[in-house]
Amino acid sequence: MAQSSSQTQSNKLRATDIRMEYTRRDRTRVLAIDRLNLETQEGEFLSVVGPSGCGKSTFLKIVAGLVQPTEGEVEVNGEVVTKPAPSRAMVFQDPSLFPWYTVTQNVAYGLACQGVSKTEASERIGPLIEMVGLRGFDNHYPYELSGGMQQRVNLARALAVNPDLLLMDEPFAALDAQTREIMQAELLTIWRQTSKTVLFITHQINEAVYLSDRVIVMSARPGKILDDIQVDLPRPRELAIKRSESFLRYEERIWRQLESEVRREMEADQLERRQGGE
Amino acid sequence: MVGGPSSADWVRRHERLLFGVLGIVALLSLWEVGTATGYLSSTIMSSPTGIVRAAQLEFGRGEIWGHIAYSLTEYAIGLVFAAVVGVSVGFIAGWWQRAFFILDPWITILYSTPTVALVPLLIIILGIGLWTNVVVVFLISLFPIIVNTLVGVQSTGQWHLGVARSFGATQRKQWTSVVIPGSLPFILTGLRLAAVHGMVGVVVAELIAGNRGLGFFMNLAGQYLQSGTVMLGILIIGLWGVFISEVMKRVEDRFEMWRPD
Repeated sequence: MAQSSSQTQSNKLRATDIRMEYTRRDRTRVLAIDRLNLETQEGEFLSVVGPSGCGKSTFLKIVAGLVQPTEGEVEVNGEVVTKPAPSRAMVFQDPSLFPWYTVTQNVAYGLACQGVSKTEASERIGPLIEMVGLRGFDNHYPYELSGGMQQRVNLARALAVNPDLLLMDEPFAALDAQTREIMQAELLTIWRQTSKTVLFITHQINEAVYLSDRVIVMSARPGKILDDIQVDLPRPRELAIKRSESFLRYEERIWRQLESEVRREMEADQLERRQGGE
Repeated sequence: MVGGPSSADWVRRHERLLFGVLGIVALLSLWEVGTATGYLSSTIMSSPTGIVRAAQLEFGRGEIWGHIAYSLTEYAIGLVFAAVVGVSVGFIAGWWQRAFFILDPWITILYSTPTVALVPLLIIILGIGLWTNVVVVFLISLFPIIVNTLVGVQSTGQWHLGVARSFGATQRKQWTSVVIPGSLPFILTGLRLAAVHGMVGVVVAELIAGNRGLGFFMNLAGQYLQSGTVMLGILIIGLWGVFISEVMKRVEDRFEMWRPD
């Protein structure tokens, strides 16, 4: 029964009652995530937005298998996540390329970890480097590339292991506004070509709405799901869609929920700093 | 012939070299003239030509080669041991926090102690000879290597290790792809410092407790007031130092292509 057809219809990712608690340096316990439940479908582009410190990046690390939740579990393709696996590749924030490796070596990293031979790896990554528009930069080191180019390498590195699930942790946060827009559009193009399921973490509402099929809005710490919004904008999406009325309505709806959360987070932060200063 | 403007260009392009050479030539000339005219005592100060004469004499007799070889041997043995032990200890202390807690006080104490202060003790233990000097070189060059390797490993971000783990890198792969390349620039800096400190070690050890080697050779010449020969020793050691740091700089450049200048 459990054949590929039924599997494709099942949930790609299912997070059940995730609770994440950690101990700070001053021994106080912090509840980062409180009973988070989430499911995604095959091929879906899902974004999680929330104020900083709401545990959205932690959630991504749990899905990646880099961090174990205090309670609850994450299943990907029906299997409980206990450790990192190539089927869940991560695109990190800015400085995550290995500075001592060239573009080619960085992109081939995941394959090298799997023991794929060098010749086979270079055959497989050639088209990827082409796809992210970095042909001719194969032997450049990361410091020789712009921020946008570095994140293309980052994306190619994750795609190289041919993951089912692409985990993206604010990959464009460090880029300037214009470059970020272009990268968003290119990400959608690449996503269409590869048809991966994507879990995308961002604090930018605009970015989340533009990219996603569905946007999850998270509360300030402890992170809970405030809203789960289906974004019914037509695809393929041009950047111009960001100025359309329906786009702005989505943005408005998310911002209204986030605004109070952000204020709450800021006040809590101020209180903490004041107490810390005493 | 080269015309006016183009020779001015040539000067501008080679400004650095030109003025560098000019400075050396000027000082050497002053020195030579000073001793020739008697303003400076040639017995104490020798002179450039005096050094050349000393070189002709010493290399003609050939004994000096033995001293150079002896010093180089001490240097090489001490440095190689220091590199092996220093990098290993640095990796261990950088990787395991408890090892760091144990080793840190020792490293701090021994790094702060001038190794020269240990020479009398080493003479008691090992006597006067090659191995005392080797141990001085070893100790004096060990700590820069340990400390730099340690800092290198510790500063190799958890960040990059997290990336490696997310791609399923094995422990071994994490070392070869993150820890080692990340700390290599620090290790090379440590080795460069060690190579320079090690020379100091050789000379000082031989000055205090040598019966052969360049330091001993200079000491002996000094006792007979042969300032030209002493200066010849200084010159050889100086050239050796320049050579070593040039080599180390090349090595560093080779391994740090990925680093923005």
